[in-house]
Amino acid sequence: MSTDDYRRKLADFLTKQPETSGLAHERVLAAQTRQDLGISSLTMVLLLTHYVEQYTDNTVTIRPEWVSRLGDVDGIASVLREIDAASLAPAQH
Amino acid sequence: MTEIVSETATGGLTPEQVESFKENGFIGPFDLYGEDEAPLLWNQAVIEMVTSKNKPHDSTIINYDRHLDCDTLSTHIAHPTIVNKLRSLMGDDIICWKTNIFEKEPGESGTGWHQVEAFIVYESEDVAYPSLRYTEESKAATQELTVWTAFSPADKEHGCLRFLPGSHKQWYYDETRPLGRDVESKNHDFFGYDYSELQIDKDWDPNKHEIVDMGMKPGQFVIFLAKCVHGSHPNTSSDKRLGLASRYVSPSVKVYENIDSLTGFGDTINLDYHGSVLVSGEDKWGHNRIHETNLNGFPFPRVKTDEH
Repeated sequence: MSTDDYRRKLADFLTKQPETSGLAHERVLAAQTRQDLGISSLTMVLLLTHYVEQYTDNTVTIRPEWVSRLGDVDGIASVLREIDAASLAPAQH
Repeated sequence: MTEIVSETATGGLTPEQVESFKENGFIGPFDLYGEDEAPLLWNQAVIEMVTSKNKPHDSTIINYDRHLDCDTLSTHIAHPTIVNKLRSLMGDDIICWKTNIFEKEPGESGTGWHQVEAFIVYESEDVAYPSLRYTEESKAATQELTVWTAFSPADKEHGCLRFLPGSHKQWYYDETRPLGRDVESKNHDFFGYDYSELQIDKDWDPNKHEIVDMGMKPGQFVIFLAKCVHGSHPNTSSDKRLGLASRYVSPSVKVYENIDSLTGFGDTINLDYHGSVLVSGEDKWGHNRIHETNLNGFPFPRVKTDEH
């Protein structure tokens, strides 16, 4: 999936979460930073736990180095990409 | 109950450092974590804050005591590098009674000068109780200390701590009087309060006193007396400044003796969760509830002393 695909995946995901259900899909696609979306840093980590639960059935542990990248939307999308990759990693061995 | 005993005490303060502390009211900075390590430790603590099953309280405004449910901070407060230096000033028996997270966003103003010792809590306008009550004299240099650890850059640009050296030797502020909160006022530069309202001598100007800026790299910490007048610079950088203050007393000190809840910053928390953590030595007094594990079951480490 490309970076744009992950932005769309992020938008799809956020608009379905209780904490961010008021967000419009287009707003997520246009946003540059997490602040643009009105999401606090702690809420963003909480949303990441929802993502891990939903897309990996909690087989992936959130890594501290990911937290530093949750300030901008491209960083968040890149973390989603790494979570997906980490969830697939065991199957490749 | 499982007790983790970490390394035997080493790395205390030198006699010269103890003398410097007695003279100035603070000592540091000291290295604790690597510059790259500290922010990752903080990130791990944030993950634990979010995923914690048993939080001490639900407030998102009052950020006290997350060492009681985040394993990373539970370990941090009892780190031998910190505790062994505290032992040089307080003796072997030490409890951690409180932690505060101090975040300073880019552009956020500095924190005004302030000075406390008993951490007075107001139940109403007329009724106040000290958070700490000292029950006996001590031969140690002090019975109360704060450790402020930087988990991000905390130099002058990022809003570092600053101290008035020697100011712990007298009272410049009356901490027993109540403060009015006004978050809109620029004069209210102490978390929405104007601490200068408590100034004993209105003609005294703290900015004409000698000032020491305590710039710190991520992973460094400073030890100080809350009674040493301190504040911080504004954060003029583009990065958030992150610090954790962990507060320690001798177990002979009674903590929150008559206090069931804390109100501040527009919120209230109930202290049912509260307990202190014995990080070194023993509790011969039994004044305070002591948590052996954090609220999620993680056993608190304890620095082993020669006697224990």
